[in-house]
Amino acid sequence: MAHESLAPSVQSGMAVYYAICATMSAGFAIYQTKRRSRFAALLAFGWAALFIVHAAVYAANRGWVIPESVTHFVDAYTNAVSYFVVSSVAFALLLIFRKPLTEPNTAWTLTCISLLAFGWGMTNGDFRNIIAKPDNVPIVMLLFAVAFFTWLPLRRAVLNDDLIAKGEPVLEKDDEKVLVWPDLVYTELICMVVCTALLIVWGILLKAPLEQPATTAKAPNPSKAPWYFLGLQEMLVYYDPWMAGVVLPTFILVGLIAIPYIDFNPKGNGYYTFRERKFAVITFLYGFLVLWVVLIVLGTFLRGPNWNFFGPFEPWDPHKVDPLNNVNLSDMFWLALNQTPEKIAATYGWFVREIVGILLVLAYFIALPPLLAKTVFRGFFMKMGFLRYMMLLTLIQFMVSLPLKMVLRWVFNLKYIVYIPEYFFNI
Amino acid sequence: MAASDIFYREQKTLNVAFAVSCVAMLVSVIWMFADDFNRPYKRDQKVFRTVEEELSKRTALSLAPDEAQQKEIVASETAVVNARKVVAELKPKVLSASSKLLPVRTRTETELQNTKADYDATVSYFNIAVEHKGPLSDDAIRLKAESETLLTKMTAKRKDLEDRLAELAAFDDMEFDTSAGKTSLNAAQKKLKDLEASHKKVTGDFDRFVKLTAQKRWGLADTFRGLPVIDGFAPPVMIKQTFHDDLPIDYGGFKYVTRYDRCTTCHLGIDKPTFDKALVAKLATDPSKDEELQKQFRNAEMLLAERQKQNSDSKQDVNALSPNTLRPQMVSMSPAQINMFATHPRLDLFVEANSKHPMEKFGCSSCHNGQGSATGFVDATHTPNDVPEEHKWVKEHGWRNIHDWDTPMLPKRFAEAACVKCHHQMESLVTEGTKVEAPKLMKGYNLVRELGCFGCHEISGVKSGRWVGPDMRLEPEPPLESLTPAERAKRLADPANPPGNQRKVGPSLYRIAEKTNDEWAAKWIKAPRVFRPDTKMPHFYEQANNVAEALPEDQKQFPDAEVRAMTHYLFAKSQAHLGAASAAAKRTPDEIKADEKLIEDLTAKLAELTDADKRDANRKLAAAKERLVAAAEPRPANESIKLPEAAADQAEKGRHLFATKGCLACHKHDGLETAGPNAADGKPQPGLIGETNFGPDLTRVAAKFNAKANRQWMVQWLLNPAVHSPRTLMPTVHLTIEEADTIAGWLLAQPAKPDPTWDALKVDKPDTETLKSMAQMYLRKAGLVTREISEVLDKGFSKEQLSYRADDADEQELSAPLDDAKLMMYIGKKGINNLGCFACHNIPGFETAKPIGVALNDWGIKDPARIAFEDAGNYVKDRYHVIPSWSKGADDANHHGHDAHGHAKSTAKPLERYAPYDTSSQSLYEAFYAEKLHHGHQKREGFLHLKLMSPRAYDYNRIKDWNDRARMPQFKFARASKGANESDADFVRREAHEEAEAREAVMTFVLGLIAEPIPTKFVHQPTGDRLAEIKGHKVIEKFNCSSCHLFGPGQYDLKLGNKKLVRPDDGSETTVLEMLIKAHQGFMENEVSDPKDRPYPEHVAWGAKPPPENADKLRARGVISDLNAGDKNIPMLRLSEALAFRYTDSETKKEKVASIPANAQGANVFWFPEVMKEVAPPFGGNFALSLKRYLTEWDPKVYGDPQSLNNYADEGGQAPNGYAAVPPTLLHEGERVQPDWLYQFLLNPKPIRKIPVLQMPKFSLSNEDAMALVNYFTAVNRLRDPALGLAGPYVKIEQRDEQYLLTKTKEYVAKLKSNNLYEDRVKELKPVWAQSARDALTAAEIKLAGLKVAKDEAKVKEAETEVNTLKSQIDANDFPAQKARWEEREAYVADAWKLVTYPGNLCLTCHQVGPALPNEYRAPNLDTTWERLRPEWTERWISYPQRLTPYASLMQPQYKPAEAKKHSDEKVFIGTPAEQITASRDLLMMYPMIADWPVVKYRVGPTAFGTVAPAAAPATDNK
Repeated sequence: MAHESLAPSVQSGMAVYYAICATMSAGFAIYQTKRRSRFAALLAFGWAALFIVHAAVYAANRGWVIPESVTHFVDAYTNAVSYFVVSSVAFALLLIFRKPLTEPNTAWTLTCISLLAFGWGMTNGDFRNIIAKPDNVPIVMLLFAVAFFTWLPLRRAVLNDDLIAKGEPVLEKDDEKVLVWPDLVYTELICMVVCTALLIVWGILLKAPLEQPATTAKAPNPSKAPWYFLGLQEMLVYYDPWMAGVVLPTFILVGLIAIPYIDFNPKGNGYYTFRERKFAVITFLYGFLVLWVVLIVLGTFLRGPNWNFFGPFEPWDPHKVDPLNNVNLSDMFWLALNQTPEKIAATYGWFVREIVGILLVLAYFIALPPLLAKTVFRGFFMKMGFLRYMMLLTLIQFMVSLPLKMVLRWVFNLKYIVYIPEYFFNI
Repeated sequence: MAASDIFYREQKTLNVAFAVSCVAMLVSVIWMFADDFNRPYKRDQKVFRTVEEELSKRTALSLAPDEAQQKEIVASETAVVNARKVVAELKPKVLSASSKLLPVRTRTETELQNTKADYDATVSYFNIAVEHKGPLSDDAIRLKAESETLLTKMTAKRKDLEDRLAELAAFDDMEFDTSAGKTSLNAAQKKLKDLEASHKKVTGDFDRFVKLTAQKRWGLADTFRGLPVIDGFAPPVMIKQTFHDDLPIDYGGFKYVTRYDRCTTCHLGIDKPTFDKALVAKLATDPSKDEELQKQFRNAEMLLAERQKQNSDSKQDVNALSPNTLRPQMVSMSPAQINMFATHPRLDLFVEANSKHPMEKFGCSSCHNGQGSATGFVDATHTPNDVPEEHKWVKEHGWRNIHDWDTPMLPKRFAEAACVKCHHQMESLVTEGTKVEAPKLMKGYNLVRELGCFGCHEISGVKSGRWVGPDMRLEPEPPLESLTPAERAKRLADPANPPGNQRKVGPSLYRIAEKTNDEWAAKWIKAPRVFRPDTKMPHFYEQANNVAEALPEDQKQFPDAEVRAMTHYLFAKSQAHLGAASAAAKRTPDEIKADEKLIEDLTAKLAELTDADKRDANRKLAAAKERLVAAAEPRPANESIKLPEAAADQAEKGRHLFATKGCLACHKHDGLETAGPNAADGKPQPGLIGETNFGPDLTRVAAKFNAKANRQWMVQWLLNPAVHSPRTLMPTVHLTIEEADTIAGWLLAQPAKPDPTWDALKVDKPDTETLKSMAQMYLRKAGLVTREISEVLDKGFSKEQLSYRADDADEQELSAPLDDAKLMMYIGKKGINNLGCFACHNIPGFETAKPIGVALNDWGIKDPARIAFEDAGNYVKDRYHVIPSWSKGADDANHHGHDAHGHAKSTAKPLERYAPYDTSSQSLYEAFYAEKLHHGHQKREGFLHLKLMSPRAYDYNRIKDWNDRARMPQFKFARASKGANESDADFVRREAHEEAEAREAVMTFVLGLIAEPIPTKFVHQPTGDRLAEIKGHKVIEKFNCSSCHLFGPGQYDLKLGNKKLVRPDDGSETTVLEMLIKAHQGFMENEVSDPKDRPYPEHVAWGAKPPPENADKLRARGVISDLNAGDKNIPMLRLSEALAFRYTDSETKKEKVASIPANAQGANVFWFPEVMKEVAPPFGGNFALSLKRYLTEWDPKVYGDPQSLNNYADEGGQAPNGYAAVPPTLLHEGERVQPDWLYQFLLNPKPIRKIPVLQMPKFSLSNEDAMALVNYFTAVNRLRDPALGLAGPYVKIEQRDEQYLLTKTKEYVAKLKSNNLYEDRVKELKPVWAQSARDALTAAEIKLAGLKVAKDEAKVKEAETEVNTLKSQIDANDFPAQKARWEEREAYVADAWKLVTYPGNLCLTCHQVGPALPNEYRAPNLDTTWERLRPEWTERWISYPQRLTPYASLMQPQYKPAEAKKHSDEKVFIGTPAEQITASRDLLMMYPMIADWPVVKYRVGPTAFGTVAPAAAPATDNK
């Protein structure tokens, strides 16, 4: 249901939110003034002023609601495909334009834009319902934390790359040594105190997010995993449970453990750099940001009842039906040859029916690595040796298999590449 | 110690950071404490302490004595203080005197104890020694000797001690000089004790509340105990809870968790009767403005001050208090808090320990639902009752919906739904008569029952073999009664699936063709309410999803086509059925026998046959069975009913018969509501209004009949409705065919008011194209492909194709060659199947059809996520006018252009024409329900409400196939009909309100169906008489018995108190109590001089238990009726049970208990609405009263003055027949009739009295129903009048016992002798004996003649002797044998017979007794009394009939102690009036035994008693 007007409690909440934003912007402006960066300071003051106006309006109970034209537009163009593609493209752009983007002013402007967008979004009841669920609050906090902790190393990497190019020592040159006493212990103590205080305040303000008592008679809809597993749950859309729930997570764990043994690049130890460790950074960040965090956000905020995709402003209607007209590869193949897969299976057995898929999968895992070793990863192969190269390739292939399958699904409506219901084995 | 002096970070910054974080930590911890300290319940509990303090203060103040009493108190206080002083003075003196003795006593005491310990030890050693070594062992002997020594020593010591004590006690009695004079300590102490006791009497209550006030005051200690951390030990405020392990919370049958209810944490006064809401609310007002209170305070202040002065040194706590303690203060409380602290409104039923539902056992949330363990307003899931309240709560409490609790608290409007959980027998909620504890729920249940919801929606009440709710299943078809006993026993014995007992609510349609025509039926199906606005039949068409506007172009013809097709199907099947019945009647018995044999043979062979043969055999079997069934069917009316010639004045006669034969007990007819012109014989034709809609309104019944055949049908129906509809509730009313024809004639002659809507209503006949396109749709559903469908629609199914389908497949209708009629049959059958018509009607071809609706067993907890709300939110927005609540905005919003939210009113035209409310001007819709349809707020209440209001709403804006659409029809629940003087607008408004209420009632019932398996001990399982009452109640409701008969009195609370009221008769001022006293005196003057003479004080009509002392109201039982006083009618309470009360006699100043018996003459209890409350109206009898009024107007001479309830006779000296002419009241039926007789009578009623214009009809009661009714009457009487010791269901009639007769006769003969009347009686009886002897002689002579012919010598001799003996007796006029017999067994009966039948006796004025005929047949023949009535009741009835009926009875009381003398005529019967009554009663009870005794047989007629009559007539008030 679209709320036509905002409840006073929401309005005052919004006012507080904008006041905090304004304070942060003002703080940033003061910091910039101190650094005598006049333009940056002006810009930040401008943001602060904008936030203050918002805060004032909402405090006076006169706040506006995000226009329906916007929410409808956003909902209309948001779906699993656009969401993932835009995220991937944004990821690429972030790395390509890392220098201007990590510039503090740009970063701050982007933060402010996202805060403003978030604030405007909160005026929509459906958006607010999802965001403000006590369960989801840590995930919103996680989003901003991830943004910050991506910005920080990337910013330093950009600076360091410039320094390295100029032949100057990197920023973290002196950070080899940290004193346990008093620095570390003291800092940790402070952290402990602050965290405890924070938890107490959180506990007072937001009650424990308990849901209704469990019953066997009624499963919650949507049934969601804990937030940190929602990425995995999203994989279930594309893969069989044994792949999404067993094989892929295993490879994630194994892969993370194996990194030190695969990594042959001696550079970049103890300091941030992008240019010297391009492959490692891109691969890791893609896996972490795009294939993990982005999918968690998708699973948390955009997957509603029946695991259907819902736009951020779309009401979660359990009666929404998404068409699922996916076809198996074997079906596609044999029907194209004017054969029915059932008949093939009846005549020659399932193996022949699934032969194309099996061959493709085998080719992917067996033929692709040598091919790549000869071409794109030629240098890697030379440096790493067969075993390490094969390990790296296998891990990467498993990682890539997810977006690959997503693309296949979106483009060809492909359900399974290999489909052997006889043995509950599908890929 | 740092390893180096280098720091990585600047220490100062870190220190600052540390300091800041510590402060943050401190602040957050303090915040945490503050948050906990300020939890709302803690605040509330503190306020509650003030409320408690203030309440007890107010109570203390109200007890504060006035000035006069104060003096008395102060004086007694002074006396106490002085006595105390004396005691205090004496004590030291006594002590000093006895000081030397004291240590001696203590020493002696110690020595005694020591010796006793030694003795005990020795005895135990002795016991051990005996056990181990035997009693003769050395040890045993030694120890025994030792113990004896010790015992002696002990006895001496005890004596010593006792002496010391006596010595000491003597000191207490020693007299000393004190300031008060010479006295002893004992005397002083006794005096003090007495004084204290008497003082306590005067001030005890006051002091107690003053103390309580001081205790409750919130003090420093409380604040300290409530401080953070310290409050962990013994806080003054804390969470309070009850826990219920045996009534756990059921989490979907998956986990049962102990129920913890913490509701009393905030609802602190819930179980305290003193926390009356009004009282608590008063505390929040300014006390300084309350004059009364201020006065009381001044009194209390003075008293306390005075008492303090009197005993300044006293340590008595009350007096130590400053008078200021009692100064009334205003408690600042929010309205919410007032609510919160107030007591439960029904402590008599809930919460209190002695109520039926004590809180300790049931908790709160088991009824109210909600999260009992929560301590916050919002978390406990309080649910607002309407939207304005919701808004208020949001503002005040930050209220929001807690989605995570599955069973939130029930809003007030549905609170009664919770009762269903344990009360599976809904009738158990009726406590007595019409007193219903959950009226809304009961109303809903009755609506569901009457409208037949259970036909489509199964309500089985069973979940996995356990009873979890009411059982409302349809009865099996065929019903149990038509099964063989073996089959019935088998069905009844199935514990898993016992047979249901609800009949279908509509008539059977098996024979519809002879009743009406298809044109009318089609229009009726389309829009029944247009024809009959208050019909039960719902609307299936012109609904939101099948009105023309809602249908696509190619389906616009579908609704009409479906109606036509269904009508066609019904009539075709009906004609076939009638044809079969008709043909079957012509079949010979041989043919029938052949069919029976065929069935037997085929059934035996069936198992051995091949599949193909089996099919064939099955068909033959079915056909033969059908033939047999048809043979048992009654033949069509036109064959079996031959109409008589219509009389000329048929219309007038018909009207009168229709009015008086009881039709209006269930039906209505407009033509009868107003008086008609005088009839041809000059008698008026009064109006008579039918007040129930149990049966259909018959006003327009003529409009559905139009042929002679239909008249035949109607006569048949009136004669015996079961012919047409075997399970109908309409009884057979014992009409002759002429009477039936007269009534039918009148009914059919009544011109139906032309109704333009009905006339304009058209049901188009479908064209072949429409039929085919509908058939196509169904065939596709049946799995046919396009090619097959077009083939079938072209040619029909071939025989072969059909043989592959099931025999009962609908497609069998489409056999080749296909025509429109066959298509109609097919579509009609599909339509009936789809719409579930068979849920209410018996329809041929649907005998085994399954209900089409969702089972409702657990609908009340259905998960909203599993309900399809579709686009209902918009539907409501577009169609209705949303109002905030019925109480706010319903009436003013009606004709304004804006709804509750200020949106412009939608102008969309609602689709439900003929809706139960006016939709053309925007029907009202409560926001409470509208909001529960919106996304995110969807609740089952919202769904249910719209489903009941506009059941097809859920197809709004949805794309659906024709036959996938919602099918539920639209019901009218309240079925209101327009009043005579009501404007259209008023009616619309009232109807909308009533409809909303009825809808909500149905919802309450449905929401109560939650199928929660409650532990058996909590399920309400009535037993014994209560169960019988409940079962009987069901039957009464089922057959509408209560329309004619009064089953129970009304209940009325009379509030005592000082309120002055104006008496309507003489205009004097009176209070309720004064009125009662006067009524009591009136009774004493009018009926008895000495109340001790009342004969049956143990009977509720004569005597009542006095109310508890200090009761502020009296519960009276009776009926309200008018007393005619000159030109005005005064409303009166006519008691049907005695009413006892307490009062203080104004002369002796002593408290007295007085009572007014039922229906006492001269005892006028006027009705003052302001102090009298109707708790429950009388149970039934409305029609009887209407009929009485009708008859009175029709013929006042015979039926009496309409108002003269209090007069036993009319002006002509004749008791009016009025109340005797209508169905009798059944108030004491249980103690009145013998159960066997009643059972037979119910199943097969026979006329009993001559006066009534109508006779008890014969209902289609099952044996169980009849039994339930019989048990009901006994049970109700036993429950209401336990002192009677009523026997049942088996009754012993003592009078049938030989011994009883012998004893009575013996006693009576002794009496005769002692009164010297023995010889008189012998003389009096001689002629009788002579007559008897002569008759015997004649018989003997005939016998002798016969024997002589037979030449049986021995027997001839015997007979000759007999003849001779008789002859000699007659000659001698001496009859020793007869006399002996008379003395042994006949004397008592002989005089009783004389008493009952001698001329001039009242009995024979109206009653016939055997051969003794009455002056006029007005009363039952007494020949049957012996099997009909119970002896005890008969006696009570004869002695005073008026006590036992609330309305005037024809019979005169025979027992009037004031006239006792008149009765003691010894020439008739020796005995007091009471004995005479007993004798009459005994005679009636023995009647069959004594009927042919000579003393009876030969003593009939005016001269039977010779000289005795009539001079000795013991005149009762024989006007």
